[in-house]
Amino acid sequence: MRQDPSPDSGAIWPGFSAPALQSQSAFRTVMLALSEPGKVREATERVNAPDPLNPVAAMVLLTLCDVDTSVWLDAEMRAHRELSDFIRFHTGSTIVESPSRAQFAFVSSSRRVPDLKNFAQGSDSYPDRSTTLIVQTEALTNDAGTLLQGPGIETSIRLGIAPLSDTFWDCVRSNHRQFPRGVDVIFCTNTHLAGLPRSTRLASGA
Amino acid sequence: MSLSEISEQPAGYNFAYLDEQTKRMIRRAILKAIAIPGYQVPFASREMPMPYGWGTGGIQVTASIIGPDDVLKVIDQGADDTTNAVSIRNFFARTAGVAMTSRAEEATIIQTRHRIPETPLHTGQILVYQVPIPEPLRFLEPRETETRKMHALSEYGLMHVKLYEDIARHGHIATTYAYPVMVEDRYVMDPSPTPKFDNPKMHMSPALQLFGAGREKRIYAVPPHTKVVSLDFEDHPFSVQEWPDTQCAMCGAEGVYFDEVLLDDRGGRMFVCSDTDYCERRQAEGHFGHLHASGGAGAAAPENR
Repeated sequence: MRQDPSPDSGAIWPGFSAPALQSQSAFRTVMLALSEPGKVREATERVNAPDPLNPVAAMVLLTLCDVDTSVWLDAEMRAHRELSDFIRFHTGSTIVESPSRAQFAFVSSSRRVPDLKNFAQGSDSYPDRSTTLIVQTEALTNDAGTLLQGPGIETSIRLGIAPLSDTFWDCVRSNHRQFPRGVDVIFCTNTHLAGLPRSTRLASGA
Repeated sequence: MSLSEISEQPAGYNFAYLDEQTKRMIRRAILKAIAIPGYQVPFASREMPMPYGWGTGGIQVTASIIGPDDVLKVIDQGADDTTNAVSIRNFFARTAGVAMTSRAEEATIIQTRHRIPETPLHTGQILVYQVPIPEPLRFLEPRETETRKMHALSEYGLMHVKLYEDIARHGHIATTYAYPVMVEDRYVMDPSPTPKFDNPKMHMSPALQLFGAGREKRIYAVPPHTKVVSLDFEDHPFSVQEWPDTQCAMCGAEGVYFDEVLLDDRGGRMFVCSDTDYCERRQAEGHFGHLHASGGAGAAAPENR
């Protein structure tokens, strides 16, 4: 039975116990989240990680990041030495200072999502060279919230995110306006996740 | 499938053959492809234990998404029993040990070479296409630098000129397969060499469609419920192939995509469903065509079907 290290032991927290199978299952959840934007789904391969990284965001990290990727952490995350050690040990990713150089960016709380313009947007020729944001949040719901439309959504879907920075939906609007350039966002609670790719637009008219 | 069963697979291979770092690289490309429908994402395609042209792109995509609980169907030109389909099925049976099926609605992942099943797909299914040339503009403009610029600017005049030249020469748009489509009003995309008969099935499909080109090192995608419109002109609207007064010789189906099979050297021929799963299911339900053994026509069943 695996045990998480006590906070002050200095030991590195474990990652997946069966990497090939767990990362496959985790990836399918992430892939579905981005191919059916807005839909809140449970993440089954959660990984306990050092604060403030939540178990679903840790799952995404271990599934997608490795020695070939660059990772940006917000100030709250960067303040935790244990977390950077965890990321370096398990993924070998370079932790970068500038968000515009990051392939993956981890944001500790949806209350403080930076302006999406700060991240790599890709170019018209290579729109894929952009940042994917993993934003931690407390609650996700499809019962209320902002009405979304776009590829992957049959008619429209509501996505409620709490808490949420005031300017976020404005950022999403301008992010979509520059399609195919732009960033993709994955929201993670402690148990669930939802995707918001750049192709998704606000139904209220972008 | 349990962990102990997986460890019984050939020694030296990871689950589904590819190493984890390769899978992560492909998975990242798939996510970008889904976020930008129709855009071809470059990826570091690997050498596979089979030659280019045998579906190495589709296999790499399938290997990166497949899990022990998946049910895989592989088709080649609609058939489950042709060489390419059989060899790919064997590959995944050995390296991933997943369940196989020929039934379209039972499969969670369908890897296909050049057909979309006649049976309508449903939500949660993933269709993986094997793509030889992912760039729809390649035969019009050989330079990658130029075609990339055209996609960046959404400048597709050249493609319309090509379709127009078809009309000028033949009186109609003579492109019958790999018929270019516009995805979400932004990117012109090659649907892989599927017959244009299948193009309407891509539009607003409930299934996720992933495209892998191994030799050309590109992955692209069409998420579920996404607009996929075949290019055409107002006075020459897109239409699919039709075979009036033709029925499948084995199951009697109409309005499906047919293979033409020559029966002798005196011009004898018959038409059968290209989708073997669909055809066999209809026969099992008691639908018979005029050349079926129980159909009373007395003709021998043709070979290889």
